[in-house]
Amino acid sequence: MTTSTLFNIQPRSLQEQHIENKALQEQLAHIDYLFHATRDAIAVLDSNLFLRRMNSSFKDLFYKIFGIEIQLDMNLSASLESFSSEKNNLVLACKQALDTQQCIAVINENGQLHQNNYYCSEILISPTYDAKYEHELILGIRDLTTVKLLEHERYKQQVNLAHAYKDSVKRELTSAIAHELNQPLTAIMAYARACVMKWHALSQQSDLSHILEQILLQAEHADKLIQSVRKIVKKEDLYYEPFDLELLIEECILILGYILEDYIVNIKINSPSNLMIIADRTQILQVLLNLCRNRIEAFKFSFKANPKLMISVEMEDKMVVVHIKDNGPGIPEDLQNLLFNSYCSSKPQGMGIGLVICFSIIQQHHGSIQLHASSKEGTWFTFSLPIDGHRACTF
Amino acid sequence: MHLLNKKIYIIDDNRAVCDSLKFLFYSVLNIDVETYDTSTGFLDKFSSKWEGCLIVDYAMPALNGVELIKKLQERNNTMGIIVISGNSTPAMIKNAFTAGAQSFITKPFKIDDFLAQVRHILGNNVPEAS
Repeated sequence: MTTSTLFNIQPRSLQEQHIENKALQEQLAHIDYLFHATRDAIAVLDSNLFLRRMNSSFKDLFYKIFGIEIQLDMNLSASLESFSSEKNNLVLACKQALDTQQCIAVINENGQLHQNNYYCSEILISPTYDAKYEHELILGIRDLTTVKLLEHERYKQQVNLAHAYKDSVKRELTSAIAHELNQPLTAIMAYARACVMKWHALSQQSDLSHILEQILLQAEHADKLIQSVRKIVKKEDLYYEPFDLELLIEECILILGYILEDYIVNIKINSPSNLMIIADRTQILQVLLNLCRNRIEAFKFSFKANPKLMISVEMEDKMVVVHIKDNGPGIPEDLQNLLFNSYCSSKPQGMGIGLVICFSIIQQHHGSIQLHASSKEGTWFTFSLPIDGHRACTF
Repeated sequence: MHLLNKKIYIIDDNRAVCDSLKFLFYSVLNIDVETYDTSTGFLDKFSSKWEGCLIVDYAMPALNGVELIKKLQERNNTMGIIVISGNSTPAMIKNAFTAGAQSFITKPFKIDDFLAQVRHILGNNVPEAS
């Protein structure tokens, strides 16, 4: 057996070599094409931070960020001379990367999120590991401006929502306190008036008559104080706008994500697409949030297996009807009739104000809200709204 | 119609309001007063032959004041109705009047105004004071 047979070495013809070279060249051309055609911004730097290769995306994004038309063989550090903090940030990250650590540098303008001139980019710097070659760095820029602006927009929405909720709580609590104080005041005034009349009928003259009149006067004064507090916190006008109800429901679930991180509930949304309604978007979002949060939290205390929440939307005449059903533990029977106008809660820490706020918002929209059914098998809430914001219900 | 045949019926879930108004009407109008703390309790006993004045709280559990009035009208109630409420909105007032109330008063009310309205509903043969 010859050596060539043992190792199966066969001399290749020149033609074969030519074919292989051609294939290799084609592959390299293909890689080169991908490098230039990709929308990811990629560049290669040598260990002295001179730019050796880059694609057009990199060139464009670099210009967008720094306003510099970068060319091959330019030095990254030198080209960023007028951007001291970004330069330091980036050069430091490159040096760390040369020590074979992958690094990320984040570039954003003063960290201020102003829509017109804000930008945010993340530059991923990866070293090449091959010891045979001189170290090189591969830079990839990701434009995070849109992502960050969206995040900021969502944050702003949530802050607004929190403010709106706080205002609603304030208004409802004030209204509730006023309402509760009105009851004893009515009783005091009725008793005092009856006593004054009885005393006069007996034709009695003494200090008692004056005292009874004073009780009445003071009660009337307390009433006026309550009325003035009420005027201060009176309900604001609704801000009507058209919006897609399905998208609002999806937004509601997105906001509730923080609860769903701890507790997994299978949520299904069944709604006609592009269903535009005219209502106060923030207020209706509050109603959805309150109803859904209550249902999801009810699961938490029940340890029920396979928790499900179903939100479905229907059209009925000129009303849009939203059903929220779950297979949770149900609402205690003694609370079911009191939900919307009393401050009751089945949750250990609950204030019981959420549903009162829902009721108030839906009533302001000329809609209706009710508990359809609740048992050990689950709970079914429904609320309806005029689709065009106009009063569709009749009194 | 003699006042003796007439009564004042107060339906309010707040006991103190019921008791104080009862005391007021006894003292001032010298008329029989019945109080109920639930709408359903009143509906169970109601007869269309009853005469007098109904004083109905707006916000009550189970069946609110307006829902109660609607049911009473279906049962041919002939008594005049005053709705009393711890708070009021234009929609609430409209609801009450559309259902069949003659008057809507927000608690706490000026007792003399309230008495005048009750007297008006009961008719002219009501004494000024006992």
